[in-house]
Amino acid sequence: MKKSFLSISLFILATGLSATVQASVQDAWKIYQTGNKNLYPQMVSELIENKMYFSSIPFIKEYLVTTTKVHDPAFDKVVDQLIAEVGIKQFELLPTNILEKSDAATIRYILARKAFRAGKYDQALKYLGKSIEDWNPVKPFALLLEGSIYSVSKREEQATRIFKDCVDISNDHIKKEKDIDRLRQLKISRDYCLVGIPRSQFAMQKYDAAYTSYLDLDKSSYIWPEILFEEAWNSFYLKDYNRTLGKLVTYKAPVFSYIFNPEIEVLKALSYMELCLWNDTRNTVEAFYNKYEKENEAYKKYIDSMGKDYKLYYSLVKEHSDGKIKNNAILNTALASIAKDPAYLELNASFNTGLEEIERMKAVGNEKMRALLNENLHESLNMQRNLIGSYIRGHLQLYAAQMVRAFEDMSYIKLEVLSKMKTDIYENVGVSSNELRTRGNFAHLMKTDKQYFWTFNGEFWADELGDYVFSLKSDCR
Amino acid sequence: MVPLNTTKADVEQRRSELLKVLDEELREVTRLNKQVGAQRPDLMIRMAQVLLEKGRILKDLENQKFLEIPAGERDKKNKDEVFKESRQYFDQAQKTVLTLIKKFPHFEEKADAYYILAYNAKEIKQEEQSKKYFQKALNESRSGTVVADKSRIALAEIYFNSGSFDKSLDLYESALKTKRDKWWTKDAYNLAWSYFKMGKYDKAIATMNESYELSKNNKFIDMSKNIERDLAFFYTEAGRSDEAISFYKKNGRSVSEVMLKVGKYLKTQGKFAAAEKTLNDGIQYKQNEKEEVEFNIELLSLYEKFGRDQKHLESCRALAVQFSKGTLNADQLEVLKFNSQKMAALVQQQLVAKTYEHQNEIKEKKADSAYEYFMIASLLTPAKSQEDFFHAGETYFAIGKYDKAIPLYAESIKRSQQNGDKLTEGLASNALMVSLGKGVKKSTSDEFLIPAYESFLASSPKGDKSSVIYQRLFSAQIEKKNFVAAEKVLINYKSAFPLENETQEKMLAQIMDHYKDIGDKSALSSWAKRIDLGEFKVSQGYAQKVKTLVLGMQFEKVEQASNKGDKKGALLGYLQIYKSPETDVEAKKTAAYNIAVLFYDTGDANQMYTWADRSSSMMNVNEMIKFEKDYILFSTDLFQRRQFFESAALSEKVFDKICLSDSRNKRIFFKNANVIYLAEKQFEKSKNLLVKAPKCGLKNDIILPAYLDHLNELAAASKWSSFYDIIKMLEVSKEMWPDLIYPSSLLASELESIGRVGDAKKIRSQMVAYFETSKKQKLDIPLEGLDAISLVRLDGLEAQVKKLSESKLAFPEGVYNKILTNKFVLINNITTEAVSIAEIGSGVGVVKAYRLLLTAYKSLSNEINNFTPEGKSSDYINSFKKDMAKRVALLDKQAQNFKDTAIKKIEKENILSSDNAWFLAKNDLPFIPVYFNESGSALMDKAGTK
Repeated sequence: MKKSFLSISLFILATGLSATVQASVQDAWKIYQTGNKNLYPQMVSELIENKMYFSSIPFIKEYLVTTTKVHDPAFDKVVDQLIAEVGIKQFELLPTNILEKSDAATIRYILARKAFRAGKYDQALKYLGKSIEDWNPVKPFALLLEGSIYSVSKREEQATRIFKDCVDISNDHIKKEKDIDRLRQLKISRDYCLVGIPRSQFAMQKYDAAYTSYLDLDKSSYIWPEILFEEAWNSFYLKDYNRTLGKLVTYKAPVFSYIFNPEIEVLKALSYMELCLWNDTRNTVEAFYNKYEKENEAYKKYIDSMGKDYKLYYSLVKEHSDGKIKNNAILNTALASIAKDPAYLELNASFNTGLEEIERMKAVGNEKMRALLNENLHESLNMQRNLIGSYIRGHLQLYAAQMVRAFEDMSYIKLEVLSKMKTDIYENVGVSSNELRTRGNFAHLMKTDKQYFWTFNGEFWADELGDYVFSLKSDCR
Repeated sequence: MVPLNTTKADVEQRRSELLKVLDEELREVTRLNKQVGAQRPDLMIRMAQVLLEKGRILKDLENQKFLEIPAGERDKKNKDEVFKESRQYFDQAQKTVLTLIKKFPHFEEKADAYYILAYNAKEIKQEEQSKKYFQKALNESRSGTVVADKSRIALAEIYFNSGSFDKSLDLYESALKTKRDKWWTKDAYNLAWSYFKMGKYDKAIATMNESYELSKNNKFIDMSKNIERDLAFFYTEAGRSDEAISFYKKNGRSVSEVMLKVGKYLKTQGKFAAAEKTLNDGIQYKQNEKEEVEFNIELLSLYEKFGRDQKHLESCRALAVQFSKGTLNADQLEVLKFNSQKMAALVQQQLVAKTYEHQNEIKEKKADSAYEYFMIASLLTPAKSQEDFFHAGETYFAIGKYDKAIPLYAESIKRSQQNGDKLTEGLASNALMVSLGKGVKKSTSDEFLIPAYESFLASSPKGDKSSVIYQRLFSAQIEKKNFVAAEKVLINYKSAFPLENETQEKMLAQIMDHYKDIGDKSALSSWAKRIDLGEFKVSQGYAQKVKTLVLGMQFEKVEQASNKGDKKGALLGYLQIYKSPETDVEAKKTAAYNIAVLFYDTGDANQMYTWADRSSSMMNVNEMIKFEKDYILFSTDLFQRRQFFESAALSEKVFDKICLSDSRNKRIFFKNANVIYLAEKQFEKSKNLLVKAPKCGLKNDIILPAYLDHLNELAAASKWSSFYDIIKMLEVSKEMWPDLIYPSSLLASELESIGRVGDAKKIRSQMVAYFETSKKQKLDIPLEGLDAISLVRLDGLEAQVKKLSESKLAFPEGVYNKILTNKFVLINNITTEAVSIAEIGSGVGVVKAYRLLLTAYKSLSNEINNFTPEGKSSDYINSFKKDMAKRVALLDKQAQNFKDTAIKKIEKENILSSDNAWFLAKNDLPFIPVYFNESGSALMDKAGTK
């Protein structure tokens, strides 16, 4: 267990760490002094031995840039070890041709991610095609990526198969993993693989299958709150709008207040629209506009004013997590949401690891070496902080875009409703029906054996979350 | 049925809801645009669509409001103003789309943009522009899109409406491959028509059938009514009529109803032969009388067009029967009227034009059918039926069937009279007259001749031929011994030809001869009376003859008695005539006059007056003038018998009667009456008579003396109440003024005597004015007038003389001289005034004036002579006396002169005055005798008074 290992390490650290550090660093210094960059992997290996991860990064990068091709399992091991500690972000920024010099599983994973992002799915699969051993720490993540590639490229069967493998292998890794951060990452990755199946089914318009598959995700999952929204969409496609609305109402629970997803309201409006409840739809749209229109303007102005000062972004989340609340609901939710984002957590965990390195650096006796490593560490940590800041900025911008998109969607929904209202008027359908609409009617529910119906009593119970179902009668003719 | 107001309210509510939604949509598009931060073509399209839609709804609303304005006011409205709001939206939509096309030339949905432009142009009636844009929309659209199909449909409609069916056909065919919306049935209906127009009947029928079937589905517009109407036409045109009937039977529709509709429709399309066939077939399936009527109505014009006369007549007959049952509506009635009248006229024209001159049988048949049409027409419009009967008669007349024509003319006349149609009555009468002269059967003649004359005269009472017709009718009635009718003819004739005295006289003669023959005096005298009253203008000779005849009949026996000296018998006879109710006024007054004469002869003044009065009342002016001398005799006789009142009354009555005539005797009647009234103190009657006198043309030479008589009699009778009024009345005429002086003096004296001195003074002033004016105008003033004036002046003179002796001479010397001077001034004035009075011309005045003058001189002479200043020396006194003696001598000498002058005047001018003696008498009596004669005897009047 990593945790006990850590405590042991700490124990060791307390007893004889200083001498060990000194030895490896000295070895590294010697290699460095040779001026032979081909020996950098070895040097880094020495440094890793001393947990000098962030200070090693520049050496590895330099090695990759200067070398032609690496066919060295030792190097691969070093790289895998290093990335496992500092995160993939530090290396993602390297150009593809540099990264391609290495066959290290983690590097391939990084390349596949880059290709995936660029929409080059086949290329991404090629990167992943070279076998990554099941034991490799990046394996669960690689499988998630692979499944996703199949999924988006409409290869459902492969996707499902890969996702299932992903779940299995992730579970194997979870069993072995002790580090709490990595464990969380693995679980999250596993759960993504788990919902990769319904996602794929959803993409293939197999909504019924997807509906059942989504139920496999445990409500305790870290990603469940986010996936609930996908389930809502799936119900929507199943034309089970009451269930969609029920799932969406879950987001009103205070425990989900950190969720930033304006699309929740959009989907709600859409569901009302599909039920031909024009006034409910319009009310939802108007409520959204009333609530967010001005806030969003201020929000945009605020984040625009921050420019690209990544340090500022970094501080923003950090301070929010420390309890400094801003005077803008969107910003607060966005910051809360980012603070709970797995990627952010991973980046931040790495950064914190880097910070620990500073302490360790003090133990380095060789001043020149310490200065060199300090410079490296500084550079890498700065970069890590900037990566975090950039990530935050990206998210804040993304949220801003989501808000715009939501407003746009809301307007389109309203326009659609208005069109339908016009049609009704033209076709002489009573504009204001005298028939009282009844809410909460069982007859309007479509239930499966995996679900339970909970009577809404005004309170949210944790185990009810996601299971609410509305029973509105459709006003459609 | 939904009540209209409910429907309207619903429409308005919906419109209002729509406007709300559109406004919301506009706001939303604007908001969205703001959110996305830039103009986006899709949003612009959306914006334009909403603007267009709102414009259309507003236009609909504006149009509704516009149509609600009364027609008269509507024309005055500025349409740009009325449709201003909607136009703004159309313009805005247009602008938005044009901006879009310019800004986003590669916008994928450009077809939508053009579609909006096209629709917009259509809304504002720019048909060509609209067509152009629809075509662009179609060109820019992707195949199978809604906008592509909508553009095709729109273009197809444009081509369809402009009759380019080849183009509409292709477009509809392409657009209607999928049943995209509910309008498919409607568009397919147009496609079917396009096929039909292009001669593709089978496809047309198939498409119609498909549209018909889909119309049963409420998801599509129900075109079944139109299809049911048109399909029969399609089938008919395609020669598949049997299928049409099957179709309607299959679909549970009334074949007759559809055939009727189709027939009507075919007519509107100018397919008359097909229409006739359809209607002829359809009528076989008629379900009720109403439908039968509708068929016949539609068939009429077609039968006429194709010359199916018999069928036309049959339809008219059938419709006439329905009309009698009251089942025709107003329009149908008009159609029947038009057809029956038109056909009747047409056939009549053919007969008049002698189209069938040598085809007797056809001629008669035609005439009979025309007759029948006329009779139908007469049935439809009773108020003008006289014309139809007349024309029917004319029709028979045209083919020489007079015995058939005559009763129709007669009926026409009868109806004309009922309907007050003089024109037709006249025409029919003429025609009847002419027809009767065409050798008709005797029975016809017997039945219609007199009515013919009568109606002729009724319609043309004063026409050229009427005089003769009256005479014929009169003769016909006399021949029939119908004198009552003959008399009526005479009366009418007289009214129509009042100047045709000779003919009237002849007719009268025949009538009076008849009554004379049968000895009907009453009828005779009645006619005579009418002649006498001038009702008939007959020759004087005839009038006299009649009068003589009648009077002769009346006075025959009485005159015989009178001539025999049997006055009593004559009186009784005249009385009988007078009292008889049958006696006319003429005879009565003759009788009354004769009675008066008879009583005058017998000396019975009272009876004479009574009958003279009565007869005078009855006589006219000329008769009165004729007998006025007799009436003078009557009044004189009455005066002589001291029956003054009766005498005066009779005179006044005759005067009144002849008042306005130029009879010279009317002044005698006036004077007699007035004198007698005054003698009898009947002042009121006298006054009334006087008032009438000028109106009756009497001049002032008669009237004024009469007034003066009246005044004098009033004074004599001391009747002063109206005295002044009469003076005032006469005063108006200045020529009367000389004569008013004396009566005025009487009035003044009377007033003075009762103490009204002031009023007397005024009257006297007026007298002086009368005098002065008369003198200036050189009018003759009566002596009494001059005396009266002199007396007035003498009063003043006497006062001055009296004043002369009132101041007495006294000393000292200065005072004496002053008094004396004053006295001399005064005597000088007295002299002047006395001479002036003497010049007035009044004898009394002259003598009295000189007497007063002489008295004054003598008085002053004596006073001076007798005065001796006291306390003065004798020398002074002597000197004084000597000096005064000269003055006294002068005064005495002057006094002697005046006396001589006075005596000369008395003698020369034969003045008779009570003062004469003062100058002439040589007596020593202390008084002067009033009446004096040189011989010493007294002058006495006839009555022994002075």
